[in-house]
Amino acid sequence: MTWFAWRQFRSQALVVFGLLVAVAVVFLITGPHFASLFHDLKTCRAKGDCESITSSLTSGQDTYFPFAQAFSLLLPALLGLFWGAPLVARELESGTYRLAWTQGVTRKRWISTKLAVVGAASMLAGGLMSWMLTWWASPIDTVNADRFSSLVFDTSYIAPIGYAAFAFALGVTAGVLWRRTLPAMATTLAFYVAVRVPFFHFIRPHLLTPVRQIRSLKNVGNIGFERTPNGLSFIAGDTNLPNSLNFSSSVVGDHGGEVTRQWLRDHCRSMLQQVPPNPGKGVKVTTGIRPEAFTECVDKITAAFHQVLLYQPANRFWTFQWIETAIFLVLAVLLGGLSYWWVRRRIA
Amino acid sequence: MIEFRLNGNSGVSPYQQIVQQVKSALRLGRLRIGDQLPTVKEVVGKIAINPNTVLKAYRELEHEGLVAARPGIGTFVVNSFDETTYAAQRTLRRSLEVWLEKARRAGLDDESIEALFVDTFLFAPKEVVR
Amino acid sequence: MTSALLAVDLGKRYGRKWALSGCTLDIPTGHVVGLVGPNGAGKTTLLHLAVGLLSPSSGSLMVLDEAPASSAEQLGRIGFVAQDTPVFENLSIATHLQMGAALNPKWDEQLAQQRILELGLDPNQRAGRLSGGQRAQLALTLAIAKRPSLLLLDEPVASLDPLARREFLATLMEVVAEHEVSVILSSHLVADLERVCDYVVVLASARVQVNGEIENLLSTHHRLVGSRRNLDNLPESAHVIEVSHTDRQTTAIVSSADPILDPSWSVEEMTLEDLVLAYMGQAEEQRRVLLRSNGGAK
Repeated sequence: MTWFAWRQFRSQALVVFGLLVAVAVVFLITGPHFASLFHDLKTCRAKGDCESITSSLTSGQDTYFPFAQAFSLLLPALLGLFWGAPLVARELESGTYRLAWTQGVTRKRWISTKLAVVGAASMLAGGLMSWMLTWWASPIDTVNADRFSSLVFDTSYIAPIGYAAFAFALGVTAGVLWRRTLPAMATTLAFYVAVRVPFFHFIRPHLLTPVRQIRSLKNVGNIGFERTPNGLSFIAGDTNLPNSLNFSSSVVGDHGGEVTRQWLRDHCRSMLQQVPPNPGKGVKVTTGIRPEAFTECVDKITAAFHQVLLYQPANRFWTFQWIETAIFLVLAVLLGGLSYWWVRRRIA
Repeated sequence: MIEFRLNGNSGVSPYQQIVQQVKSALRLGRLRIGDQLPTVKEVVGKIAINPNTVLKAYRELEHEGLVAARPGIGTFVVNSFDETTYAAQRTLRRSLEVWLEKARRAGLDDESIEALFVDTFLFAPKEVVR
Repeated sequence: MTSALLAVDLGKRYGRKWALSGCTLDIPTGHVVGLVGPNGAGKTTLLHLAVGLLSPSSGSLMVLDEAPASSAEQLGRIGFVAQDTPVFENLSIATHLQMGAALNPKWDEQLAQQRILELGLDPNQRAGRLSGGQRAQLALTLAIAKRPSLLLLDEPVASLDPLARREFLATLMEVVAEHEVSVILSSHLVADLERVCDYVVVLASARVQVNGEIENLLSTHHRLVGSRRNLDNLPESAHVIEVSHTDRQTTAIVSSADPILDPSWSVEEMTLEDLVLAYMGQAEEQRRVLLRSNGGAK
């Protein structure tokens, strides 16, 4: 049965692995160039002038990186659509299940072999793409230092293996329930996005209790005021810790509370008086404010408030990769079990 | 070797048709003692009928003593009708052909010829004075 | 003696509609069985139950003394040619044979190769490009190279032209003559089955109307023609299947184990087609009566 499962799957497999080979070729051609630039970058840091090297790294990154990343991001969904959804649905749709299920092989073995062979191929494809991208983009990732917070997490290392398994199992399940390929593909795509996007935004940051760090506002760059319909409000920029996953920063007073407008009226009267009543759109808030008044206000805020950061530190990256991979693998196993049961018991 | 054909509209059952065709072949000398009948597989492969139908026909022929089955080899003709008539058949056939030609020349169509022959056959005296 | 198919009160329901109900059958092995009935009578349902593609909603079913699809061995003993003879369009004939070899323990590779050769097919041709007749022959080859004890065929010749139909049935009969195999094949046309079957099951309105060896059925069913009358004086064993009256004449089709001796009837022999049509007509009549009485109740 293993041979036949592979034989039926062969042409679909060739398309995807062919694409992966094409990606590998592009990576092999461009990869060493990035690696040497990165090497130069390390040596130049000792001397000081690195700007030209950094810029050629980023320009190379602009050309290939988004495509490579997008492909790695999309690949699991494609596997779910083109490997998972038709796996059972096409047999049901074309009537060949009547041929396949009446050979000298039980339906139990038929579906478990199919799930195993194509499921393993999905994980292999997802893992291969991820591994190639991880290798190829490692200089870029090192420079960007954002592997935890950006799509790097979703497209590299081991998590894509879990996504691929999940997307495949999702496709199979949709196909088994719909019994038709096209609606199954649409459902697979919709559910895949509906799981991955909220997971990225709402679940991943909370997988472990975040680290809470209190920082003085002195260390925070990008401080200023923003005009709102109700007057000025204070803003402090996020602090990007390298390779960590920030998900909230807030400015909190020593006795609690935020920098309210009332507080500003009480403490920064001289600065507020200098703000033009209606400078028009696009005019910077600071226009017309004397630097001394601005600094005075900021100093007062810095003295009374600090920044509270909630984040997942860089050293948790691998823990998160393992947790997320495991979660999606478990989901894949559950969906696979559902299709297995459904094929054996409900299609009758 | 004899080749069977089935007439679906004759009202005669397939097994009887096979029996009749063997007998008529024996009468006309197309099958002779020692000849082999086609195997059941050969027959069903040609005319697409149930093998049991052929077996039944062969059993009936065997029962009448005309053929015998040799296990593993086939079914063979072991008896026939009077073979001495074969020689006479040739001249008789020729005179029938002459008669047929006369009938056509006289303007009889095929159906009339057949009717005339059958009618004569049925109502002519059956006994032959030797 | 084992049964090719043994069903007891077998039923299959889709939602509220019974596709097959109260089906009780005991078909002995060694027959070529014709499963006849109009479209939608439940033929496919019965065959799918027999190969385990469907599971019963009620009753029980044994095929060659085992539950359908209960094990790989059981599946290996049944050859199945589904309606419209599905094949894998993208795979070649050779790959189909490789599949058969890989999936069936008793696969007869020589038989399969021989058949493809006899049919004059190119093993490298994709199955999707075969004609209807060739595809049916490929499906039959796959089924018989399993060396099954029972062959089930669902409307195998319905979509074939007369020549392909004849060739298909001839091949099937060769297989029956050569190997010890029981056959059940369905058709909505009696003419397809008349020559090849020696046992018949008539299905109509989701129920078995009659079944048995054709020879027995034909010797116990008679068409009676006589002057117009009631059908009171028939033997006790007689069942009236169909009766029609004109001003002066009564025609009836009856089943009777005892001979009809009443000299005022002229008793005619029946063909298989007459018999099947009589039972289908009876089922249709009962259905109409049922519909009317249901309509009246509302």
